[in-house]
Parts: sequence; C-alpha cells; structure tokens
Amino acid sequence: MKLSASDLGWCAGGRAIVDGVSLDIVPGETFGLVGPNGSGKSTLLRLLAGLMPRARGRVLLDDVPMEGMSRRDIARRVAFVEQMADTSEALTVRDAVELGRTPWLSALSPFGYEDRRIVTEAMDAAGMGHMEDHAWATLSGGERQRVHIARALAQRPRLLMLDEPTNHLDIHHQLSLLRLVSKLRVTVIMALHDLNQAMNCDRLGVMEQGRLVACGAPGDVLSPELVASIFRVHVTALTDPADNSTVFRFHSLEDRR
Amino acid sequence: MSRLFAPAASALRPVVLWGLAGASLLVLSIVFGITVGETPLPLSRVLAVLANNLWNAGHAVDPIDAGIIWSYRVPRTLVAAACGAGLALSGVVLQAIVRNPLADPYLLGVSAGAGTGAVAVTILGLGSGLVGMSAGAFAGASLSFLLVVLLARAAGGGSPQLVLAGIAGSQLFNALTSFLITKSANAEQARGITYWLLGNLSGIRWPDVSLAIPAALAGLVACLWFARALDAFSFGASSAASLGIAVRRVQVILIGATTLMTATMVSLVGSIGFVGLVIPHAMRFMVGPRHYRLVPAAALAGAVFLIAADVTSRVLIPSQVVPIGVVTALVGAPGFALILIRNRRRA
Ligand SMILES: Nc1ncnc2c1ncn2[C@@H]1O[C@H](COP(=O)(O)OP(=O)(O)OP(=O)(O)O)[C@@H](O)[C@H]1O
Ligand SMILES: [Mg+2]
Repeated sequence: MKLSASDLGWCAGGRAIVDGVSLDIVPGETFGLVGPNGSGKSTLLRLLAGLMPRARGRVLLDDVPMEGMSRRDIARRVAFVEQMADTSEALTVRDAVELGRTPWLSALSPFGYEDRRIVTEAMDAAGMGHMEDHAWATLSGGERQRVHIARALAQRPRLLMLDEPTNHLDIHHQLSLLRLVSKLRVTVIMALHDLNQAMNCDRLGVMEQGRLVACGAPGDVLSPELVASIFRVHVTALTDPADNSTVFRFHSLEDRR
Repeated sequence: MSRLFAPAASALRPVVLWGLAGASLLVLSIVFGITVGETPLPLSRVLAVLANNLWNAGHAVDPIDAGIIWSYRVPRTLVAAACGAGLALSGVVLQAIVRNPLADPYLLGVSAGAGTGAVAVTILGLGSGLVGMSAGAFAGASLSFLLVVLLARAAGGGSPQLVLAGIAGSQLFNALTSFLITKSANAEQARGITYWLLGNLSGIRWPDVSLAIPAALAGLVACLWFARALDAFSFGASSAASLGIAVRRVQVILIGATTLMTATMVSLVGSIGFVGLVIPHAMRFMVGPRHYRLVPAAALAGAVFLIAADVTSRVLIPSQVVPIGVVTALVGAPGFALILIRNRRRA
C-alpha cells in the first residue's frame, strides 16, 4: 500500500516533537526508522497511523486523505503494534489475537470460521500457536510482543507499522520476526534500534530531534559520519565472510579520545 | 448450501441454550421475589394471580392478595431486576472504558450526582413527577461524571487519580444533597429522602416499571451492540483506535447509556452501591473477560442479585424493611475486599 505524508508535525509542551516530516512509502517496501531515544520515531509512526490528536500535516493512503476515512476503514488497511501495550484483563493469547479481527466484524457479521482460521494462522506465524490458551498475565515480555504481532497479522493489513518489534525478543525470534516481516506481501514501516537489523530494510529514515534528517538506501544513509553525529558512536564496517554482507561494530566515542 | 449454514447453526446453538437457561433463571427469580415477603403467600396463589393478569385465566383469588401481588410485589420485583441489571452493566462499561477495575457508578460519583439532581427536582419543585425526577437525576449524574473525569485528567489522568477524583465527586454531591435537604425540606420530606437515598424499593408501582425496564433494555442493547468495541479497549484507547474503533463516539454513547441507566435507577430506588462493582468482577471470574459473554452474564446476575437483596431486605428483620443499599453493602463490601486482594496478587 502506498502512503505519502506531507509536513507532519506534532507539538507538546511548547516543543515540536515531530517537525515538518514528509515521507513517501512505496508499495511493498520495508521502511526502517532509526534514531536515538526521544527523537520522535514512535510519535511519527502514530502520526502516520492517524492516531495523534491535534496533528499537523496530512497523510494519504493510496492517494486518499486519511482524515476523510473512518477509523474502521483505516484499520482494515493499517495495523499498528505499539511499543508497550498491556492489559489487566484476564485474556488468553487467542482472545488477544482475535482482537485483530475487530475492524472486519460488526454486530451483524459476527466472528466466523474464516476469522478463526485467520487467527490460528497469525498465531502460528508469530510462533505463539502452541500457547493459545495461556493467560496474558503469565506471558513473558517477548511472548507478549509476539502476541501483539500476531494480533496485527490477524488484522490482515496492507500496511504494517511496528514500533521496535524486536524489543524483548531473543535472538532467534528477532531473526524469525524480521524474516517473517520481509516475506509478508505487505508494506512495512518499522522503528528499529539495531542498526545491523536496519541494514536489511529496503530503505531507512533517520530521525533526530523530531526531524527526518536522512532517507534512502541503508548502505548510503548509515555512513560512519552520520552514525557518529546522530548516535554519538564510532562505527567500523566489517564484512561477514558467510555472505559478504556488511556488519557494524560500535565503539564509544569516549574510548577513542 | 448446508455446509455454508452449518457453522452458523452450530455457533448459534450455545447462544440459544444459554439464552434459554438465563431467561429461565430470571423468570424463576422473579417468581421467587414475588412469592417471598412479609405476608406469606402460597406459590399457587401467586401463579394464579399472574395467570389472571397476563392472560385472563379467570382463577378465583382473594382480591386483597391479588392486589398485594399484582400492584405491589410484581412491579417491585421487576424494578429490582431492571435496577440490578442496569447497575451491573454500568459497572461493566465503566470498568472497560476507563480501564480501571474499581470503576463503578457509585465510586465514580455518578450515583451521588444523580441523587443530587433528583433531590433538587423534588425539593425545589423544578419539574414534576417521575420523568422530571429522572431528568434531574440524569443532569446531576452527567454533571458529576464530567467533573470527575475533568478533575482526574487535570490530576494527571491515571487510574488512581480517577478513583480519587470519584471520591471527591461523590463527597461533593452527597454534601450538596444534604445541603439541599437541610435548607429546603421539611422534617418529614427530609426523613423520606434520606431513607430513599439509602436505597428503597417499597414505593415502587407500575409506572416505575415502565421507566426502569426500557432503560435497562436500552443499556443492554447498547452494551451488546458494542461488545467488540468494549473488548478492543483491553489494551487501551489508542489500541482500540488502531483496531478501527471510533473511540470518542463509542465512549460518548456508552457513557451516555451508563449515565442514563444509573440516573433512572437512582431516581426510582435511590443509590445502591456495590452492585456495579462486585457483579461484573464475579462474572469475569465465571465467564471470562470477553464482553459478548460478560455483558449478558452481568445483566442477568445483577438482576438476580438485586431481587435476592430486595427479598432479604424485606424478611431480614420481621415487620421492618432494611434499606436495600444496606443489604447490598453487607454482601458487597466483603466482595469488594476480595477484588482488592485478587488484584494485588495479580499485580
Ligand atoms: N504526550 C507527550 N507529551 C509531552 N512530551 C511527549 C509526549 N509524547 C512524547 N513526548 C516526547 O517526545 C519525544 C519523542 O518521543 P517518542 O516516543 O516519539 O520517541 P522515540 O523516538 O520513539 O524514542 P524511543 O527510542 O525511546 O522509543 C520524547 O522526548 C518524549 O518525551
Ligand atoms: Mg519509541
């Protein structure tokens, strides 16, 4: 799904949290968003998903202005996995994943067999199928994260937005999640902290203090100079003999003084 | 074709079975509520009177008994059922929407505001009769809920802030009610109002039924219609929005329905605590947190519970009626304590 955003902005406490961001997402691409803590990645994702009140700028989904669409219409196209979402309800894994079907159901078209199949598929894809009866309160952080991802998959979106999806996941599940995401036939926008993982995106955007300061192919964007100035670390690029891909190693700037 | 319809039919079967079971339980409770009372009446006479009035069965019954049963006990029991269902549903909705296990119309000041509104109308003679009182109660309830929510938001908007703001709101509106009573009511009015505020069903007649049952049914339909939306609030309002819920619209409709139910019930029977708090939690425990089950279960359990509480209030002390609010509090306070303890263990 195509998304174009122009001049997005959001202020809080007299400070611009996101400032004049324009962005075009190509159908089918995996777009990564990187930047230091507090640089506005989560806020930008929420703006792109139309979830922020008092937002400036506009977002077009397949050339249709999002402000004219109902929440349900948006939710049938766009799924969003928040950075932290918790519940005190005694939901099971399956209950939580079933929530993803919400935009497709109404009082007159209730949950049916097809929905059940989609939910089972989504749980299996996120590796949570074997835990479907487990209670939310008993899940580990990584399991909760995978339930959220399964919920987003059950929504059958054409655009998937993920805020630090690999957070809390062990290395196996990090890699399988990224593989799953890259194999999905949907457009993906995700915020990431691991620059090595970000290298696998089709394109990257770099945020700093609410602005999108760089955007393009990962290899071009993540230059040692940019990494040094934005992330305040020194980076050496190594080549992995297994597949000749570039791997970053980071050093604290202080160590080099 | 049959393959197409089979899943729907098999999904419908439990709904029908549970619906029948629930309806039977409700009818049994209502008959029980009508039969038990200060004047002992045999079940056969109660059934005869019901049959006479419902389909002109023409049984011979003592007119005094017939009067007690049809003019007093039947409306009283029906209103008890409607109030119990309405209060329990209000609790379910508030707990889901404000995401606070302690939310209920009583704790959030909605009942207190409704009481103030109803008393203001009665004493100051602003309107007349049942509808005027209910309208006053609705205005009071909306005002107090608005104040509580604004205060909670100004205080930072968290869960504890909401409960504290609710306490402040309840205190304020209870004080306003007392002030109105002392200032404007004569001694007899004052005693009557105070007694009514504790929860009292003894004045209930048929016109009250025609207010209580539609209010409870409207609330039930709204809650069932939005059952999925209520589920979607599990992970917060922003997650509900990303699941396609028009958050503001659903909040306004459901809180409006809650306020309407609470206001109607308070204007009829006074303010009855703990039903909206304890019943939803007990039902979550029994049928789980999903609202398509929780909503009907809570409505049924609330109705049955309040009928039982009303019967208890009539027979607890011979020849005296204990206010029903006292009975629900005697059962509810320990239930509330259990909820607190259970929540601590989970946190
Ligand atoms: N509602 C709000 N009110 C005030 N400030 C806010 C609000 N929401 C976010 N901020 C501020 O905006 C900045 C950007 O927040 P955001 O969550 O978008 O950052 P982020 O890039 O996602 O950071 P992280 O990597 O830590 O997830 C932060 O400094 C935060 O304190
Ligand atoms: Mg973030």
